[in-house]
Amino acid sequence: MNSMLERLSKEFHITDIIERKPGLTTFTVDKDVAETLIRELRDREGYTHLNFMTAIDYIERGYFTVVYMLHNHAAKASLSVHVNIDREHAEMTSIHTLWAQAWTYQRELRELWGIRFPGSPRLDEDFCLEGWDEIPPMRREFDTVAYCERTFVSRDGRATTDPREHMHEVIFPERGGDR
Amino acid sequence: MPQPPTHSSSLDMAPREPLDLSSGKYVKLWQGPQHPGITGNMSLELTLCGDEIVECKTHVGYLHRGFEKFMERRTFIQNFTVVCRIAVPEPTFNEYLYSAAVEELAGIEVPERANWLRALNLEMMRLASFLMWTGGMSGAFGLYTVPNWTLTYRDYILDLFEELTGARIYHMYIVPGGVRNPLPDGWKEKTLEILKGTEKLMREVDRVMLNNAVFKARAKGLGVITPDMIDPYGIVGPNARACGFTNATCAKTNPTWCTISWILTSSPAAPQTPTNAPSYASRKSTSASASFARCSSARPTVVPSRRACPTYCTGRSRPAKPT
Repeated sequence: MNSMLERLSKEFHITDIIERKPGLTTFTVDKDVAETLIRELRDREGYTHLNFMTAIDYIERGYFTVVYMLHNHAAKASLSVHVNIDREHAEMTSIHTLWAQAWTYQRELRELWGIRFPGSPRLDEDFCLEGWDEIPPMRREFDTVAYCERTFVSRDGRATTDPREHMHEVIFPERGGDR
Repeated sequence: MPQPPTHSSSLDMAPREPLDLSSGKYVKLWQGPQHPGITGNMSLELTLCGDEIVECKTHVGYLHRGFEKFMERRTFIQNFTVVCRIAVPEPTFNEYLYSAAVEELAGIEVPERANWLRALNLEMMRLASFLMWTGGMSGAFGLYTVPNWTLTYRDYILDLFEELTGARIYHMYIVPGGVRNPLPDGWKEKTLEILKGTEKLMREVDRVMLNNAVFKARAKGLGVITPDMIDPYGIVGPNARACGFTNATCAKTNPTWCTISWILTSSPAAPQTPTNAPSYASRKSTSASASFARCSSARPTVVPSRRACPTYCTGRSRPAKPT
C-alpha cells in the first residue's frame, strides 16, 4: 500500500494521504488527473470495485469534494479518492466508462448537488425530484425550513417546539442553562 | 437452463437507438409504484416486446428521501432518532452505523460486552428481516402460506425486541458508546426456544417454497448473478457471496440463528446469572412465548463451535471464559 501511494503521489501529485483506520486510506487528487488515476487503480492496482460516489459541500471554502470509494477485494482494502471542484462551476469528468453503475450516482450528484458530468448517460433525466425548479437541495445554502414554509400549508392548531428550548423552559426550568 | 450473459469489467453504455413505440411492436408498461411485487414507492418503466422486456428504467421515487439533508439541522443525538427510520425492515443496522461513525469521530471505545450485545441485536434484526423478505418473495410467487409462517416468526422476534428495547421496530438500542440496557431475566431462554422453531421453519420453507413446482418454473434461470457481474454492477454482501464470490464482505457463513445461540450461550455477553434487568414488555412477550411453545419442536438448538468475533465487532481478542 505504502509503495503504491508513494508511486502515485509522484505520478499524480496526490496530497493529504491519511490512513483513517486499517483498510481505509483517503487522499486528494487534482480534478484533471482524477479519472486517469482511478482507471490506474482499477486496472493495475486491483481496486476493481466502486463502492459509492458522493459529494461533500464545503460552502465556506467554496468547493465541493467528490468522493470515490474504491475497494480491492484481494487486499480487503478501500481507498477514498477525494477531488475538490469549484463550487460555482461544478463539473467533473464522468467515470461511467469505468463502472456502469457510476452513471446512476452521477445522475444523483447532478440533481441533488448540481454537479455536471459531461457525457454521462441520462444525466439530465429526473432522478428522484420530479419537476424541481429550486436550487439543488443538497447544497448547503438550500434552506429546508424556508422551502417547506413557502411550499406547504400547516394545519390549523399545529405547533412545533424546539427540543432544546423545551428542555430549558418546561423540563428543567430551574437549571437555567447555557443558551 | 439458459446461460447467463457474460459481462466485461464495464458494461456497454453506448447510447442506443430509441425504440419506435409507434411501430406496434412494443407495449409500455409501468410496474409500480403500487404493485405487490415492488413495495415502497419505486417504479419500473418497462418496454415489452411480447413477453420480453427490451427496456427498463428505474424510478426511485421518494425512496430517496434526503435523510442527509434532514440531519444537517439537527444535533448528533437528535439525529439518532432519524437514522433508524431510513429502513423499516432492518433499522438496527442504521443505528449501528451511525453510532460507529460518531464513536470513530469522537474517539469513543465501546466495551466488549456491549459489542457482543450489538452483534446479538444485529443478528436478530437480520433474521427478522430475512423472514420478512422470504415471506414477501413467496407471496409475490403466489405462495401465500409461507408469508403467514415467516411473518409469525418475525413477530415472535419483534416481541423479543420489545422486551429487550421497549420498541418493536425502531429500537434505538444501539447508542453511541454502547447499548442502552443488558438482557432482561429469562430473555435468553425465550430466544433460544424461538430460534429452535425458526430452524424448523426454515426446513419447512425449503420444502414448501424452494421445492415448489410453481416457484421453480417461474424463478429458475432468471436473475442469475455471476462473479464477473460483481464489479460492473457494484454487487456486495450476501448477493456477491451467493454467486460464489468468496472475497465478498459479509457476515459469517453460519446461519444467523447459530450466531445468536452462540452469543447467548458462549460469548462474553452470555448472561451467567440473573441480571435483574428490567423487562420492558414482559406481559406481551410471555404471551408470545406461550403461543410459540405450542408450535415449537423439541429439536436441540444448533450451537456452533467457538467463533471469532463477528465482522462488526472491534476484532480484539476475546478473553478466555472462566471455567
